[in-house]
Amino acid sequence: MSTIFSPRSPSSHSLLSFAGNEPSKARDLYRKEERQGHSLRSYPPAAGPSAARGTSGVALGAKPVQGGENADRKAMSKLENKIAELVRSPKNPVEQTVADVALKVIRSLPPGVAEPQIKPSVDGDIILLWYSQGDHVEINLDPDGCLSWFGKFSGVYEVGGDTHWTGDLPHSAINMLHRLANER
Amino acid sequence: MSVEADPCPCELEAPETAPGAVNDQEDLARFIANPDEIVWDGNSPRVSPGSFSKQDIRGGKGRSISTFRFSLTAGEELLNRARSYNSHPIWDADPVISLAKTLYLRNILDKSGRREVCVYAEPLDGTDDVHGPCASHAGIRRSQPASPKTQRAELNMLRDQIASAFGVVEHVISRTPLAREPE
Repeated sequence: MSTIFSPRSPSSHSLLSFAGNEPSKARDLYRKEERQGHSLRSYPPAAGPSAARGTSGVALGAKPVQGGENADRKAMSKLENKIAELVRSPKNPVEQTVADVALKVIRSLPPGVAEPQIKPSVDGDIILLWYSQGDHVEINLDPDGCLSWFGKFSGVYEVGGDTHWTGDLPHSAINMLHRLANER
Repeated sequence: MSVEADPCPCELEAPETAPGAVNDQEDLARFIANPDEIVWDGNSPRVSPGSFSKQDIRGGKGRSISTFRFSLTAGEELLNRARSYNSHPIWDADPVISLAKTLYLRNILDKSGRREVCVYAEPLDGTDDVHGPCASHAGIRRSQPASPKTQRAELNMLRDQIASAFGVVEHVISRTPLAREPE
């Protein structure tokens, strides 16, 4: 273990030690930025040109169109299953009470809002996220049932607010979701 | 973004066992355990804010966000720790890490222009760690005294800013960007 206590010069550091027999995989780590086509000025890199526009979800609560109701039901069922999974998984400290609020929030999403990405947090929160080319809206559900939200638009963060769930999604959160949807 | 961050005193001091203070230009590596720690902006992977504990961000009782100084950590050690942290079978052969530029983290400012987080050398002594000590470990935590955040949304926003700083998500061995798996 002695090597890890010695500062290594940039030139001596390579991935050869764990690139197996493929020396081509060894990279000059200090040129990583150039390789990835971004510099400090643009760090972290924005979504690449290959990124699809917006989230890939199905709009929830949208007016039924041909097959729309089925698509809606399918999307909702997928989200419900995802939330149930989070509670079941021993990896996540997510409680059923938070999951219940998350379900209510999802069911209250206004028409035209895409399905969110649903992620657990190590603190036991459930996070609902909507992304669109670097901009995003996050609704966080705390273990105590409080929800809070904010958005990032054109690189600028905007604080939304926080409140206990009262049965309706706050207007400020709805406005942020509409703004994001309109940018797509 | 500033080219150079104003250093906080804690960032200038490095324990004897550390290979010096953390430089603005250093990349910090953080392990990704499974797809739940990833969010997607189109086809671009981002680290989920949920993978960061708010208690770690607050930094009380010796807590911090755990990272490894990429250029100073032996490749084998990084790989071993990444494999150990990984819980997604598909990534077993080539686990996933995220990288953040230290300067980007140090340039997260509050409304008044004050630094939000410090990045500092925090060698691991090996206690309760199957991988043993690690000199090139670095911690991230809120600068003190922390600016008050009266709304939960503000702390969640800071968590998101920290997560966004880890803008590179790639496999450890192949150094290829993480690709989206079919759902």
